Amino acid sequence: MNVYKNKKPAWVFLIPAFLFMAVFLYYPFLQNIVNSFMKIRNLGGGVKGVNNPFYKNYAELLTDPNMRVALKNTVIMIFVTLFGEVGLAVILAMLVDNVKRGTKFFRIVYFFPIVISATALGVLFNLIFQYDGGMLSQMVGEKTNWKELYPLTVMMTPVVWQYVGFYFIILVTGLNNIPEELYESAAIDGATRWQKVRYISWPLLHNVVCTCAVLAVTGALKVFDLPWVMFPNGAPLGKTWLTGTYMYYKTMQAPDIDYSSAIAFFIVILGVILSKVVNKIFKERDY
Amino acid sequence: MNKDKKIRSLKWKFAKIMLLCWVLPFLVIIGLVGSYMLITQRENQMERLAAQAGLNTRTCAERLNGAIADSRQATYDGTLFEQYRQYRRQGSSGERIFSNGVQNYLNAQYSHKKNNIFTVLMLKEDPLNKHYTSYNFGTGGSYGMIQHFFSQDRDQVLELAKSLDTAVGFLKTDNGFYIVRNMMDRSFTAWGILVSRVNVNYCFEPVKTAWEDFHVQLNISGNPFVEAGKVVSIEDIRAEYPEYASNMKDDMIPASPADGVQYAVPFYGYWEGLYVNKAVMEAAGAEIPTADTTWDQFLETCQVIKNAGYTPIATSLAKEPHYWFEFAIYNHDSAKTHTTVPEAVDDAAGEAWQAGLADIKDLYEKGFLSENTNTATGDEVFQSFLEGKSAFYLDGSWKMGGIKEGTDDIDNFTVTYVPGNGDRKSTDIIGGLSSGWYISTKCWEDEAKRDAAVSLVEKFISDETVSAFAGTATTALKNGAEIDESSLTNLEKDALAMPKDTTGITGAVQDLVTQDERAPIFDNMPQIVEGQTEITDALQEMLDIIEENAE
Repeated sequence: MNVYKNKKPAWVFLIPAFLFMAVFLYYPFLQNIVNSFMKIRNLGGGVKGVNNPFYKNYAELLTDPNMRVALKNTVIMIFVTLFGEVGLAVILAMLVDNVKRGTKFFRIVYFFPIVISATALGVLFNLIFQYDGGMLSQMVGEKTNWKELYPLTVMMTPVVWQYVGFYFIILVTGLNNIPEELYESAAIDGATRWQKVRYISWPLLHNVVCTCAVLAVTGALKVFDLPWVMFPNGAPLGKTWLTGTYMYYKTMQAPDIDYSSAIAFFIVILGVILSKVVNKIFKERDY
Repeated sequence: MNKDKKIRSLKWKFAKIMLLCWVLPFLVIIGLVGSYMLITQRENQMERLAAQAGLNTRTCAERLNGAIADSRQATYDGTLFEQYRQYRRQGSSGERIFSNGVQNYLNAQYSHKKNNIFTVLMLKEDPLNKHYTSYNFGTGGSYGMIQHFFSQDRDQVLELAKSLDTAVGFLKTDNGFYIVRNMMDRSFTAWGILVSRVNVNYCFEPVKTAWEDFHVQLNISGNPFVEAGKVVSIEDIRAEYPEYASNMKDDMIPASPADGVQYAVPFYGYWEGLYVNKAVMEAAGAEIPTADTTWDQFLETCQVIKNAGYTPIATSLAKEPHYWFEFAIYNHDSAKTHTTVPEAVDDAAGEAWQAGLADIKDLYEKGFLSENTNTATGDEVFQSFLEGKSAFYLDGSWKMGGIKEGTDDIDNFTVTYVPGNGDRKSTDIIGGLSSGWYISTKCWEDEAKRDAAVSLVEKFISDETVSAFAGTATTALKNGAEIDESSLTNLEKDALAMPKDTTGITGAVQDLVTQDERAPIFDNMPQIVEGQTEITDALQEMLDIIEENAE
């Protein structure tokens, strides 16, 4: 029976996938770190030596006002996704869980925005917030430059709206996994609906919420498509930069490849640290 | 023992499964995909090359066949034989008539054929003294070349002719390539020998340049030609052909950015102009700017429009600042100096750029630009122009189609000059005449080709040809493009009239800097007009990037 305890063959099974990851993920990642110390102006362009001093880009990250705005907005985005997306998804999931009829209908309705492409959503919300003739401007009865007046709100609303459904589905699945007997016993003991949520649903959903929180935080660091469609180049006046959009800008629009490599590496570091912090805060528990 | 064997064989089975099901397929797939990609890439390249080479070979064969057919014609149509018969009948008294007749025939048949350099008819009875010639000046033929033939190659030709009978023969000597044919009477007896020297450059050039053509297609661009000295300047051509491109406005013939010399005769291009919504102008009681409107008058007009409750200028500084950027700077330099990228913030070009950007800031501060210019998309502001909420919209000649599609009343729109300031007249426009006809140095230095090349380009740049291709686009024609105006809309008529009065044209200076170099200005335009970014800082940042790129 020793043959089943021998784990060596498993390593061989893992090699092809590992090779694939090594070639297409880890090698570019390491190369990206190296690039962040080099002088590279254009994508695919030649390396013009090492930066002087070699940590120039990392020093610039600290002084770049756009990077400061991007970081500030990203932190705001993290809180908005945590409370807006995951929080709202928890409430919606709890409510839907308590509905006896139409559960499927709500699942489809809330999940639907996820299947729409971010570009289409960007165009849709651009029309909603349009200055002249936009839906909101028509509702308030005068031309209002929503994008200039409330840039962050306008940028984050569609992001939250789109991803609530994603966390909602995860949480509903988590709720469905809670055994019905627990609720029945609580009902026999005379628990109210709120007490069932507070003492059964919430604690047993804790680990799922924790996973959602990690996904939300790392997702907020990478969010790019929708904000870019609605607010390209950090418009208006560089108020809406996010780490993701700024990195893209520095790679594609105003190429400074070594600097954008440094931003990319910084995002990864930030992602690792923040997911650790979130894991610490929402420590997984065994019940 | 048995148990160990079983375990080992199981291990081998595992290893085999892993190898066969995982590693091997993985490596095979990677290998197949990689080699497929490489092969397809090469195949595509080879296919294109083969197609090009095939086409060139066919062209070559057709040209050579043409030369042979021309040679055959002299025998088939019987004209020469008839004249020869009369000459034989009349004796020496008919020699002059015969000589003139043959000469006329040879000139008419061969002196204009591109495949022919010269043709000689020698009489069999006395080939050394009785011969008649014709040469094609256009392909480099000359009397000297014929004399050279008689002294160097004639004997070889006569020798070949003896063995030919009714067939056609080919002879390649150090001097050239000849088609030789015996002229036969009705009893198939040779009475003369017709020799044509083939224009090898014309007939075989497609094959010779098959590879070269393939390469040029990939790298076609004016400046590398200029830098490599591969093209002749218009000035050099005019030294020998004073009338060359005389139907073009010299001021509008663009100079090469490489050395400031004019090489290409422009074909047609584009212009940028100020589109106007006439209804807005009428409602605001404002005058449409003309060729004489100054910048200050334009600002006054904008104020009138603004006071009437309309947006004077529909523009998105967030997405499309480049049109106004270009004209704002142009208003502080001239058609001759516009395409100069600053080398320092405070040099002449730098000062012009600063002043131009300050003008855009001024327009913004006066409230003449779209209210949401810092957040709007290009489409948003264009729509406001079409819907009669804005008066002016600056764009290129290509935007006429967009206006036509976006409105039911095309006659409500016109296009005019962007009012000028300082040295720039309003009629000095931004335009692109970047496509044009070059004559290569190789062709120019080959006297056999020079005349033909000049004639060809003159045909291409004639008023008629340029008009047929250009439509309402910019041309450098002195008389403007000739178009059937009855089929045009009023906007197109206005557009057509505009380039006729143009006094100067220049390319866009922004095209001389790369996207990353101009980003500090273009991407920061909202910050610049808001005063959050100093104009000099943005300019300096651009210069730093240019310097870094040049390292």
